[in-house]
Amino acid sequence: MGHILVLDDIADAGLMLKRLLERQGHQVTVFTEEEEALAHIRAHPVEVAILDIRLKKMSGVEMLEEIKKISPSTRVIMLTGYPTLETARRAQQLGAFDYCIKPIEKEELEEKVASALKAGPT
Amino acid sequence: MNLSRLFKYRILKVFAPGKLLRQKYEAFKELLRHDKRSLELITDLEGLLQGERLVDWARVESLVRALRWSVGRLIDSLISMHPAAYANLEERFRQLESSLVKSVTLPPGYAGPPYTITLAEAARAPELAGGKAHTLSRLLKETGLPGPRGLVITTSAFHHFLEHNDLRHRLNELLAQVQLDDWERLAELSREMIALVQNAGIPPAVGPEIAQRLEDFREQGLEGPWALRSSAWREDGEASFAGQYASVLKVATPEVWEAYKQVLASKYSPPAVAYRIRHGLADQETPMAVLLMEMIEAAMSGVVYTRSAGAGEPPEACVEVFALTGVGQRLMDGRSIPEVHYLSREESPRLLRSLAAASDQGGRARLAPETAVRLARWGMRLEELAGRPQDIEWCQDKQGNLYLLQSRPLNTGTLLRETGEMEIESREIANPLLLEGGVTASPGQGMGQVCLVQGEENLAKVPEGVVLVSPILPPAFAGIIQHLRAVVADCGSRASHFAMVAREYGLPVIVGARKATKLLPPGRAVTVDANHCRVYLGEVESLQGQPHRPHAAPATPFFTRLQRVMEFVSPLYLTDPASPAFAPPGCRSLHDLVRFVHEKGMVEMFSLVGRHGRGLGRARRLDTDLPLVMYVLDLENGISLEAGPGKDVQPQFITSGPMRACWQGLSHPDVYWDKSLLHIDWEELDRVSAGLINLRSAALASYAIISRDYLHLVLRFGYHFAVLDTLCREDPEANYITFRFKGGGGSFENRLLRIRLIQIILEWAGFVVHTRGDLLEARFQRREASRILSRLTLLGLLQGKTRLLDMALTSPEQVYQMAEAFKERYQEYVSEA
Repeated sequence: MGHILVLDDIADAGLMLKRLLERQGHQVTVFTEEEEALAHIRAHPVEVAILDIRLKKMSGVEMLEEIKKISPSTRVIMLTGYPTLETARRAQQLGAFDYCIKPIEKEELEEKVASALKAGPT
Repeated sequence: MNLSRLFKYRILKVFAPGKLLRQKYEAFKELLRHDKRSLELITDLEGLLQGERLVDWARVESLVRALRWSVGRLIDSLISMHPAAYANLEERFRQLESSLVKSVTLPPGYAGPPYTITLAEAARAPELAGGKAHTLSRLLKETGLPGPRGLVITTSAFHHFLEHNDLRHRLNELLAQVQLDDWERLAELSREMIALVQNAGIPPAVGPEIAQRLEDFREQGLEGPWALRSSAWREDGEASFAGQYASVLKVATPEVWEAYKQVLASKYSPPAVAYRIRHGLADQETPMAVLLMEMIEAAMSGVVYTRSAGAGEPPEACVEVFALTGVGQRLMDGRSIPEVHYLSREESPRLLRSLAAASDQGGRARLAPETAVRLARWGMRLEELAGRPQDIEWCQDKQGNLYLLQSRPLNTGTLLRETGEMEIESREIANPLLLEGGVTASPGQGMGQVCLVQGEENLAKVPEGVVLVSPILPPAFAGIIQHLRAVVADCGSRASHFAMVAREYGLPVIVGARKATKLLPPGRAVTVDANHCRVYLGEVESLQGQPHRPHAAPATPFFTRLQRVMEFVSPLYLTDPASPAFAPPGCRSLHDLVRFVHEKGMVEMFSLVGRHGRGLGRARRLDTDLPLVMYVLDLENGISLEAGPGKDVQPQFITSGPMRACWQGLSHPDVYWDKSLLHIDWEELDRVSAGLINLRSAALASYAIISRDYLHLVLRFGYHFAVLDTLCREDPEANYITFRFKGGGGSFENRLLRIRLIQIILEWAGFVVHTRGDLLEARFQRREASRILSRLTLLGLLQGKTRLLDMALTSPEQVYQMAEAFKERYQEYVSEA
């Protein structure tokens, strides 16, 4: 069970993830605003962050870079409905834990989160 | 082709073959992962075409995007296994991808001016005005009937609104998640979509234009309040959308903008979304114009149906007029029971009967009879003009003036059929039930004689009209699909290539039936009920009346479009790896590409290491009493940590499942090992050394490349070699054993006898076997892990026992006897209890 941060520009998409992951016993905080999410990471240890690739102000990849600066041990799972090789490579270079393509099945996401938690600080 | 990748590959091949080998294995694992995902996505799309469930087009787009990604990664994995070997593969993928993208992408809606037009202009601009405004404008013009004054905020203003606020992709992301059977979820998604629209800003190009129009009305003495009504494109067309969208009434001028957004947002209410999806229309295809009209202060309002069955009247004999005091919203919402008047369908309609409204205490109808007659006359005229029965909205102000608010086709026809699995009445079936269980891969019922096959072998001999029973479900079955009435397979899944093809053809298929090959008697007539996963002996007459026809997809725009998309996704043309067409240019769908890449991936793994054992530098020698030299290279979790470091490793520390299974066979007590002979590659030894080099050299030894669930084994005994490549995981679809055996020290005839013996035994064990001269190739795939492991032990045994047989075998009779003895003794490795 771990502290998970979810950042998605669409509040509802984030809430869905929250409900799903809380059922697994995780503690989940959802944000739609990049700054608020970063502030949260500065103040609280976050083990796993799930980022949508399209956000409001930054791209998910930029956000990943910011998170890794603040909290290198946070495992970041990128979630996108618009996969490109460039974002995938960039995410990998920046140390993303995983790069997932929507639509993603509930079980698959649960598995990814579980393995990210299990992996421990990277 | 990425040149730097090719360069790196060549460098590695020369200087670091071990690293290359690991990379190849990693790429193969990636390949399997993307293969599985690609097939799942194809199956999901197939399911949509079958009408398994109704979804928004945004979900199709999202699935196709994910599929393109997965197939792209799949191809990439194969190319990194062997750069430069698959020259035109990527190019073919790009071509198919571009056709696919074209077929799946909806044209962007026109988002340019004008953003407002007058109600009068709407008659000439149906696409800008939307259904309701266009119809009303035309009817008012052609009949001269009185209607309210107003303007139309166009459909292009809607497109511009979404564009300006960057809402399209966000809406699509939410729409892609809509499932019509989960209303709770739909309500949540809908809330979010409505919030997106309501929190968005009116574009600067639209707001002032509306303000100017309102100012023009003010100069004509018209200051509001206003009624804003939806007028979506296609609304009132084939799909009526009646009551799906909002109307906002009594809107003061300063509130017009909020009311406008409210009407737009109603496009995303749960019923409106569900209705649109049921009619197979995409969100972009139904852009919303808004009709802004003067608000008539209604004393009475209501609806006219120009054809009605009335109460106790013959069907379609009457005009029916519904009326309520005040505005009509409650009537449309179905929240009250109005008064009803029945009139004859004549040029001068007669009032036949009136029923008072439920709310009316006095039991008296409020609508004046002459008004009812006038409305009925309007109705007859509008019906004549439209050429079909009409559903008309009207209102009457306090001065007694009547206004026409809307007229649309009256829905007298059939409702869109709900798609979904057709349920069959449960009937008493007297025939003996032979088999029950498994999974419906393709629904329907079929009858025929049982024809038992061992997989893809001898398919040309399968007669017409049979029920095919097989341990597995290879894609090759597609080649004889027209001969089949049904298929029952012990293994397989809904995502099997053939299962998809079967659904296309409407052929009933049961997969995962486990014991079908044991329980279904060859040659006997049976009836397969794939919907319930049952097989009966003989012909079941009650099921005969329900031959399966391919699910005729409802002819909605969604299905028409999806059919076009699927042409590039699902048909499987590449079924025979031996055919010259089995090449990238022969791929005509993404499914073909997936099949091609998977096949080639297995071929690549088969040729994992060159003949001289390059890349095995870090392999460890297997420490065994058996007189054979074997090196083991662990790629991942194939050797327990307890083995410690060192150049040797003992067999008990091997954790690779397939390696353990195979070793169990090789080291079986029944296998006799002559300790005076060292089992290495003598042919190579003769060639390179005339006996001078170290007999334990890796270049002559047998070797195994292993991981927890993978084994690549090269056995070099005497003058023959055997290569075995196998994957054994939880998911049976990915599992396989490929095996090749060649050579020997005996005469050619004797070697052929040994090949024959191995062939008989492997076919008995369920392998598909090909031989050419003294080369034997065998494959066993898509089986559960337990079956793969038992076959590996059997292969180990067989290798041990037939090691020197090429010297000993002399006659076909002897081969037959030995085969029988072998089968009898090792039955346990083949029985599938």
